[in-house]
Amino acid sequence: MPTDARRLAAPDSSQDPKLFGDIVKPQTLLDENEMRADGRYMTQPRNIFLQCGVVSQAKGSAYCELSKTKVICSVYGPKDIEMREEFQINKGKLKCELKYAPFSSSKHREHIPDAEDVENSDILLQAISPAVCLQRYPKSQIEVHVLVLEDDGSVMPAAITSASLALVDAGIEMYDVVTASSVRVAGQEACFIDPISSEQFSRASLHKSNDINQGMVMVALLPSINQVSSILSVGHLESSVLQEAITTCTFSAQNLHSVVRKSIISSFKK
Amino acid sequence: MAKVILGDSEKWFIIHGIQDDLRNDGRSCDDYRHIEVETGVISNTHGSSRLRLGNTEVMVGVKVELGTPDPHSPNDGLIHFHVDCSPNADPSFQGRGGEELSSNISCILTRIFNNKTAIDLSTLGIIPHKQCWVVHVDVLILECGGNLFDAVSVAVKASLHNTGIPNIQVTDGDEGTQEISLPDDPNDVKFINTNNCPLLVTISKAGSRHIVDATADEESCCNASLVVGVTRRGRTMGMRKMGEGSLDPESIPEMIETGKNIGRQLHIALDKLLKVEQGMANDIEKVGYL
Repeated sequence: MPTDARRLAAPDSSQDPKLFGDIVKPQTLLDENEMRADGRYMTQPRNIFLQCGVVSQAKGSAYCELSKTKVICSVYGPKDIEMREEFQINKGKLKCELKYAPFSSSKHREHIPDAEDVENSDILLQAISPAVCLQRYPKSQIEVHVLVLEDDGSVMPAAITSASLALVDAGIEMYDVVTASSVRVAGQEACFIDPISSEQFSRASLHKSNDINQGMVMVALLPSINQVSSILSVGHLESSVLQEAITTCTFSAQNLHSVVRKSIISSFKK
Repeated sequence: MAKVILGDSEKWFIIHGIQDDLRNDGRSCDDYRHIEVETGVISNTHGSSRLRLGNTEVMVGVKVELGTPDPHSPNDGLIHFHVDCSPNADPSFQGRGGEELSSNISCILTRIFNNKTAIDLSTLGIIPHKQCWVVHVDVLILECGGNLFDAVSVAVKASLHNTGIPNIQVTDGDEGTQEISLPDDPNDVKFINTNNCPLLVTISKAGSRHIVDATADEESCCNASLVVGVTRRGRTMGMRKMGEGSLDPESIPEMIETGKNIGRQLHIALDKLLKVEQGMANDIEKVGYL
């Protein structure tokens, strides 16, 4: 395993002590009153808080909070391209990085990006690049840095929404903002909008060997021009269930548009 | 990704062809190229395969080793995917150039195998919390001729089907310890069940239509595609949009449906071939990488 010599050496591998205790996990996602673990209904998203201009040094920045999920994003550029191979004469280069703070999740995160971080950064890039008018920024690069301060589920939608808001704040020309939403699918007709960590899909959390229609779906949307910029799914889903989940996600992402618009307007009024 | 540089007029020619359901090599939008698959080609592996799809050449070797299980699922084995893009395939893969593509492919493979049914990992467990089989699936990309995701997934399924895991015995030793003993016969193996193993189908959007099995030239004309993991029964296991373009929400159900149908046909063809290959065992001379 590669280690970073500049930091104090922690043990090579360590585990979360909770794994060794006998913590009883709730078997179902809904309690007897049809309520979720944090007191929401199945189709109720968490309250969202968005704010522009939180980092004074950056060209543009945004902060997004979905209850305990907290994400901060800053945008730098357009500036000169650093690497010669990335130079393009007719369009600019968008660079994205999604990073988890080491203390953000239930397990300790390494400082060095792992395969998951690289994939997440790539998903973020593909979700926001359809919205940016890159042909307006030839020979230059725009950097988007997203830092997850606290992870309580649905990090990717929060990262995508805040990244697009930060790009708007930086005055980058765009076709549209990007809003995103995710759902946890648990059974034929159960789509839990905006899942928290304990509701998220993971192979280890499944109790039965029969795991049909258990999974997660995320959709990123350009709401005004009605284009889908990213779709992501994981788990074993029937295609009818998958399409139902995509529709639910799209609808939920559409609903975020007014919130994003409001926060843009309020940032200009200041 | 290895990029083919095409002029605007060449791109329009390809897109207009797709619009008329006639592609440059004479296929229609839903046609796949000819696939060649061969299993058991590398002697030092537990399972291996070689695949050729048009000009795409992929080789997969599976090695199983003993390791410690993940504490989140102490009864299960582990499966890891590593993809390596050889600079032979494209000079741009030299040094760290191929890293982006290889991490993309290994991430999507991990994504589609991230559920309980794709491969039943509990069959790979040995002693809970202590020992399990770790399956290393190593993919080598030898030539890029478009549609790498699908090609890799077919080769992975073929090599997993071909993978024999030694039948080991666990006996109780002294003071509550457990001992593992390997069989003497190297052919005393059990095969991994690949009945629910998904295959990837990439559906690329070009103009207003979508195509499957895009060649390298066609890939450079498409700026958005959907990669769907499909099982033999036509269910989906993981999906991701690739590329820097966006998709029309109305076209997504159609694309998923196409992926589902193509995926099922692929499964049927591959299963037939794997059955034949398994029956012949060692009788045939392997062609290998030419």
